[in-house]
Amino acid sequence: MFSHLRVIPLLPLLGAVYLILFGRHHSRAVVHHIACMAVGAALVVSADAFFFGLPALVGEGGLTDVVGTWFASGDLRVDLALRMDALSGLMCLVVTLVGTLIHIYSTGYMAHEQDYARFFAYLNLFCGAMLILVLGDSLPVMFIGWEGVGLCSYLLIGFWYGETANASAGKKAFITNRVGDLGFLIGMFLLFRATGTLELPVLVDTARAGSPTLTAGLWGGQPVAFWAALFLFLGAVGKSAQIPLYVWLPDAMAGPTPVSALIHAATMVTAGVYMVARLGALYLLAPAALAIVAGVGALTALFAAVLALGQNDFKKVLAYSTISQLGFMFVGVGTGNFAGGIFHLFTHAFFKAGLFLCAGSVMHALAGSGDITRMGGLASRLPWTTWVFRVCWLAICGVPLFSGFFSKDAIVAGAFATQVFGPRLHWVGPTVGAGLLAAALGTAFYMSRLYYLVFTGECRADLREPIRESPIEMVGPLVVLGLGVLLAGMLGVPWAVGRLRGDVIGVWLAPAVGPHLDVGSGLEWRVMAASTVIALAGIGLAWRFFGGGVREPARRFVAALPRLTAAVRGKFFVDEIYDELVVRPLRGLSRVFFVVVDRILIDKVLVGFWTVLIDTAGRLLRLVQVGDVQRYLAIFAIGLAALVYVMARPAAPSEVKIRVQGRSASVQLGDGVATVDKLDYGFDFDGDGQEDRSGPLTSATWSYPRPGHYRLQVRITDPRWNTSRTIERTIEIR
Amino acid sequence: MPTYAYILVSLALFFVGTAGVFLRRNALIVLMSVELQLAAGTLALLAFSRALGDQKGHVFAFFVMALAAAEAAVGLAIVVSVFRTHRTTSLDQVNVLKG
Amino acid sequence: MNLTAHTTSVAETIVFAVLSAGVLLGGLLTITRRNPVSAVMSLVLTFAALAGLFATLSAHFLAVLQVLVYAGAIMVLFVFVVMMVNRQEPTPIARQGLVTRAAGVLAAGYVFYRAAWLVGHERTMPLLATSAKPPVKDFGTVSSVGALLFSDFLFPFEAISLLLLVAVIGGVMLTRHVREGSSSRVS
Repeated sequence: MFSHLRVIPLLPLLGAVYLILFGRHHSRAVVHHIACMAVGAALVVSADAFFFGLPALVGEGGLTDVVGTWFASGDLRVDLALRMDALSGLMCLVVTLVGTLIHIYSTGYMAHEQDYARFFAYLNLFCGAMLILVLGDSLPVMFIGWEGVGLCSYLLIGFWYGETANASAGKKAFITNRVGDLGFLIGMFLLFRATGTLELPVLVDTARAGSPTLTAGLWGGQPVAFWAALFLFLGAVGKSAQIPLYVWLPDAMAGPTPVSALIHAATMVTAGVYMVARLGALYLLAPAALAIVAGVGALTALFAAVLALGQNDFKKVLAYSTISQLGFMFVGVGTGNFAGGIFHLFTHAFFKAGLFLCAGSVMHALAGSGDITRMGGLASRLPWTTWVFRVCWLAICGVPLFSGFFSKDAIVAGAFATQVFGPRLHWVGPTVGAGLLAAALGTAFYMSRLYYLVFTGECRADLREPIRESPIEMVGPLVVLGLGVLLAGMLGVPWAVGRLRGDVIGVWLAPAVGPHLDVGSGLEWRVMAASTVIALAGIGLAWRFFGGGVREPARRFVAALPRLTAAVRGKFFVDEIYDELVVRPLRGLSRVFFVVVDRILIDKVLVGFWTVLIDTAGRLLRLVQVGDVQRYLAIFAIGLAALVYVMARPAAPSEVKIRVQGRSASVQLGDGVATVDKLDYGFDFDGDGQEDRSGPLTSATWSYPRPGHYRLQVRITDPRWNTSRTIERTIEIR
Repeated sequence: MPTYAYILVSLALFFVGTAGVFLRRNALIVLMSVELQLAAGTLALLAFSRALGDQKGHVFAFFVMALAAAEAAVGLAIVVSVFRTHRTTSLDQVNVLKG
Repeated sequence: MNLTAHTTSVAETIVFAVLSAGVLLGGLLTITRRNPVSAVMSLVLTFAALAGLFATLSAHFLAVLQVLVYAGAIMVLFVFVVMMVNRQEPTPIARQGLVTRAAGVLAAGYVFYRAAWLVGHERTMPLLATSAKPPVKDFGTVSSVGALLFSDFLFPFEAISLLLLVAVIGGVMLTRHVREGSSSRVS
């Protein structure tokens, strides 16, 4: 057991806790040192584990660290366990490296921020949660991290909560994520019910063995594996902003730029891809699910690329770009090319984070403005930023030898070459591949548009303030990321290119995600050629439209197709549609609940009823308290009289026995002997009001002249008090 | 006269006093009615005392009388005090509680 | 229990009847007079007749005390106060809560009716039937009652004198005029 693993998420978490509690009492220097060192230490430990501890154990499931039992309930037992294998180790490095760089960047970007400690606390908290997600050895532990990053996303998007728009964006992110989380939970439930465990290694082994617990049919003719995979993918759709749950990511740009770089480009949004890759064996059991994953990915990649064309805010372009690139990753894992998908995740982390940090640098230089229509010509003024941007830009466009080229290529080639879909769905692969090529064209086009509008041509910005390069705390991480972009590609160079032992990453990840997808060298070359052509075409087209500013062809296009342009610029009104279909009905329903249940039912009826009751009772009782002593005395007397009345009455006899013999009836009270009380008894047998028998005896007899119904009355008198009691019975004489 | 006669008179007198206490408005009349009740009680005490041949009843009646005197004195003092502030001896006009 | 046979003579009955009528009549007059002075006078009549009744019961000491203390002192007190607050009220019986109070009177009447019936029914009982003076020497005289007071009942006697002291002080405190700024003011 490698018990250092728990240190990796623990250090940032402790940093977060300390900064939340005491951060505001320290100077900025102390705060950012604590935060950066926490993540940096996590990076060091991760690197140590990855490079020195892992290689020995990578074939046997990697390094594990069991902290303790979280809970055990019935048949379910969940341990707080962490595992670093090939896949999670790589993710861990990415998170800690990019996380540390962004922490350092933030010391410059957020230098004038009031709530400095809170920001770094949340950043640390996020890193801790993401590391738990990545290192978790079972689905519940991963879910802790999953929810944790969702929470941090909300906290950081709405960091400047003074503006309602920011808070709303945070809410939107959280709620949309929540919809996906429901899918994650249902997937977990299905898996537990089918296999009785939620531990990832066990699940993966069960899936690889093709166990009947997972292949048994569940609903609609599809196996358990399909439904579990599908619901889990729903969670990924929410977290990784795919169609239809992508709408929160563009709004999330309301948060500070370092947040966008870290969370919404490099790490949190990739959690969905990670999760699918982790459970790859499960997905392989359900080709239909894989088809859905790949289809959604491709559709999202294309759709988001189109939307990015119409955006005029720097960060929004990058946001849609992220959505699109995540689509690429999902195509990768959706075609069974898990290594390819993860490779693109890896390279994307570097260049997208780089792009976002460049955006931050530009906005910092322009006093917070992100409107690209008011930029231009910044290449000469922000040299470092421009160079890093160029590197990242070429990478994302897929220009050869830059990292993005290799990773995108891996995915596209894999899509065309995959065998994972089986005979019925074999068309999915090529279709998806073609879609991705179109998306790649779009990517090249919109990213180049961004480059040309921001960095080339005349500067359209307000030039009263001098535009200066950013400080070293911001530029430094930028450069490091740029280098990372250049170098990361080396890890995925496919076999076909050289005699080198290339595709290191595919080989490396094999123990975790399964054997590497073999793409024939011929297909590989054709795809590489196509991608290159597409990339250059996209860049060239963008130069014609936007080189040095908006040019004539662009204006003609917009004039010729006004409605299409408006639709694209309006993001195809998806947000508005959601608002109508989902948000408004929910609001209405909430309102109904609020008014009916809360206001009326609870407040008026349940509470008000008692209030009214007690009020009325009080009012009534108050009438008694009149202060009129004479009335009080009178009531005394009335009570006394009632008492006397009850006490002075003769006692009721224990029983009244009536015997009818022929025409005569006899009545006997009690046990037939005269009681000690010396009471007087009067018997009226025939109901005429006259007493037929009377005296001290408790029994009497009488003969009736005629048959019929008679009312029998017995009067008991106490002569001492002059009180009496009457008993009535009816007699039938035949 | 047999004792029961005196008891009946005592009962009747007590009833008269009770009626006066309940019904009259003037505080002074009410106090006088209370005196009537006390007197009725004293009468009954003395009647039984004679029937039993025990003089303890006389002693008790003596104390009752002293008590009645004390009570009348203080009660009248209160009536005077109330009269000074409220300018009335009617019981229904010195009631401050809202019903 | 004294069972000395004694038959009531006619004279005794007449005396009893007259005195009882006086008592009851005086009582009724007291509660029905509008004028408080009239009520006071009726009460004096009542007490006087009552003193006579006490005498027929061989309670001589108490009969004298009744005249001295009740009719003499207490009624004088009443007279003083009536003179001070003499105010004829427009209605002798208050309107508010009349129903309750009338019901109370009727209830009290019911109780007394039952009690009276009981007494009447049991009048041959030894306790209620005796009419003779007890054979105890000096029954009801000052000396014998006084002897009891100062021997067996000394403590209550002293206690009641304390009570009278309290009453005196209370009466004085309640009715004195409070001067503005006086330090001995009672809150």
